[in-house]
Amino acid sequence: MSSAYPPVPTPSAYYTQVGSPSTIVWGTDGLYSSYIVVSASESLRVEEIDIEQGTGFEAVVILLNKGLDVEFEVIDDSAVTPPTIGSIVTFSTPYGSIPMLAVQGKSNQARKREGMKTLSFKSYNAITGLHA
Amino acid sequence: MNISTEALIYKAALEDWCSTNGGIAIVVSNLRMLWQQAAMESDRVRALICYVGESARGPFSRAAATGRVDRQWQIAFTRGRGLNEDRGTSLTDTVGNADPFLDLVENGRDKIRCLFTTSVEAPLDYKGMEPMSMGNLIVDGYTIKFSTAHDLPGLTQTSPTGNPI
Repeated sequence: MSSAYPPVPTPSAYYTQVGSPSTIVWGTDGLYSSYIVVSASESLRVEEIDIEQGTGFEAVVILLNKGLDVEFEVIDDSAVTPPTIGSIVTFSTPYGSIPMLAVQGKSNQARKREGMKTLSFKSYNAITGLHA
Repeated sequence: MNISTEALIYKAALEDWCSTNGGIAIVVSNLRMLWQQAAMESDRVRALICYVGESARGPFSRAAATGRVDRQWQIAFTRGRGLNEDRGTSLTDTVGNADPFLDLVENGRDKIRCLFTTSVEAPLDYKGMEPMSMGNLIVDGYTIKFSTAHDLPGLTQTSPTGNPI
C-alpha cells in the first residue's frame, strides 16, 4: 500500500504541512534568457528630496522614483551577441517587465576559469519606451 | 516529487539504454548493495541506481525555513568483474557484439544529464564520474554522481488545538 505524500499530521500538531512546494524565489532562471546568469541585482533609483522647516527638521519629503537599475553578471558565451550600448532590451524583473537601456558592459577573464561579463541596464520613468 | 518516483524515472531512462546492450537497470537500496551487484560475475551491462541521502540547502540559520534540499544520487554503470586478458580492448573497441564500454558509460551518463523533470533547477547538477575500485575489489565500472533540487512541503504553524495561529 502506498502512502500519500505529503503525510497529513494529526490536528494536535504544532506545524501542519501545506503540501505545496516553497514559494520562495530561488535562482536566476528567466531573468536573461540568452545568457547563464550568475547573479542579478535590481534596485529602484529613488532620489529623496527633503524640504526643511525653519528649525532644520524635514517638513516635506519627496521620493522621486526615477527608474530601475539592473546589473547582470553572466557567463560569457560566444554564441550570444551582447547588447550594444544604447540598445533597448526588455527584462522580466521583480518590479515587472520593463524595457531597459543598455548603459554599461564589462568583461573579465582568468586562467582556467569561465569568462564573465557584467551588463548594466537602466529604465527611466519619464522617458517613453523606457519604463513599464 | 518523492524519492521513489525520482528513482523510477532514472530506472525508466536507463532501462532502454541497458536493454539495447543486453542489460538491466536496478534501483539498489544502499551503496553496499550497489557494490554487491557490481561485483557479480556477469558480463551483462547494468545500471545500479542508488539514492544516497539529501542535505538542506543553505546556512543553518535559514535552511529549515526555506525548505530546499539537494538529493544526492549515484549511478554505477558496470559490465561485471570484466577481468579480460586485455581490459583496455573492451573499453575502447567493439569486442564481438559488445560496444566499447567507455562509450556505453558516456551514453548512460548523458541519458541522465538530459532529464529535466527530476529537479526544480534544471539541468540536474552533474558532479562527476569515478572508476569503481574498493580495496582489492576491481569491477569493470564507473560511477556517476549528481544531485537534484527539491522543495519540501511548506509548513503552517498551528495551535495545539489544530487551529492556525
